[in-house]
Amino acid sequence: MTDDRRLAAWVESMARGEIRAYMRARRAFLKTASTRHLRELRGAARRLRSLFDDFGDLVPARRQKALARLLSTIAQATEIAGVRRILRKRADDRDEDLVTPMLRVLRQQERHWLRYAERAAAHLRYRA
Amino acid sequence: MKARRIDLSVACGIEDAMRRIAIVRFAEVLTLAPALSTARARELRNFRVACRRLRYTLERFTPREPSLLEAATRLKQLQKTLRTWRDCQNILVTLPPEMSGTFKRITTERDDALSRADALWRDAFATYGPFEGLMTFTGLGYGVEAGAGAN
Repeated sequence: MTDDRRLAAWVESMARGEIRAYMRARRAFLKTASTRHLRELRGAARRLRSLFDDFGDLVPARRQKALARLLSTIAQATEIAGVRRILRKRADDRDEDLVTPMLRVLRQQERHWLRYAERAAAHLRYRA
Repeated sequence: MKARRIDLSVACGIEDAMRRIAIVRFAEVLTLAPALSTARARELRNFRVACRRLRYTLERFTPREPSLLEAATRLKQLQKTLRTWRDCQNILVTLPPEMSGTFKRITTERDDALSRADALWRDAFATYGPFEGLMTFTGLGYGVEAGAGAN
């Protein structure tokens, strides 16, 4: 096998692996839309985008806009989750009456973005 | 920040393609590293994104080039620390002024995160440090060593 063909076969097998991992994470997230499954989906989607970035010459990027949309909705949800986590952990006891409603609003916003992410993930399927 | 396009049409085989990609992604990280000393939100974000991109690339290459594993692990730690910085920063800009106690605590956590990230970055370039394998593989990063973030 020539170098070029070996390289193409290697990239193709990696792409198949990344797509399978994405589809697995997507299935798990659509079954249970939890923060943990969302993080796994984010990792798989980012890895897939990174593969398209690195090997753009050899693997044509597929459904890039939908992938970008999914990643941006996931980023919103995970950013809010991160803010909530730190606020819960670091809030001063004297500020409790102000923190509690803030946490409630953040939770609502997180749920809202989770639903968006669910919709975006439902639309983005790949075939390995 | 968009990833730089990599021309693989001239790559001679898998090893060469891997090296070309790692060089471009590592160069992106090195270029953005001064963000650690300026501490500007946008620059730090770009640096974090570049670290993540390089990490994913290296993780994909480790089955063929295990010497890159340590660098990938260090980039993961760096990315996590920078995420904490970002989360703290996001809260601080929305916190009402009457929550001074909470503001102080979160500011401390944010500043600690940045110091940790800077230390993780500097230490990575030490002799036999986590970036040793990456530097050997790409030929980049020599002479950066301590003070990299302070440039």
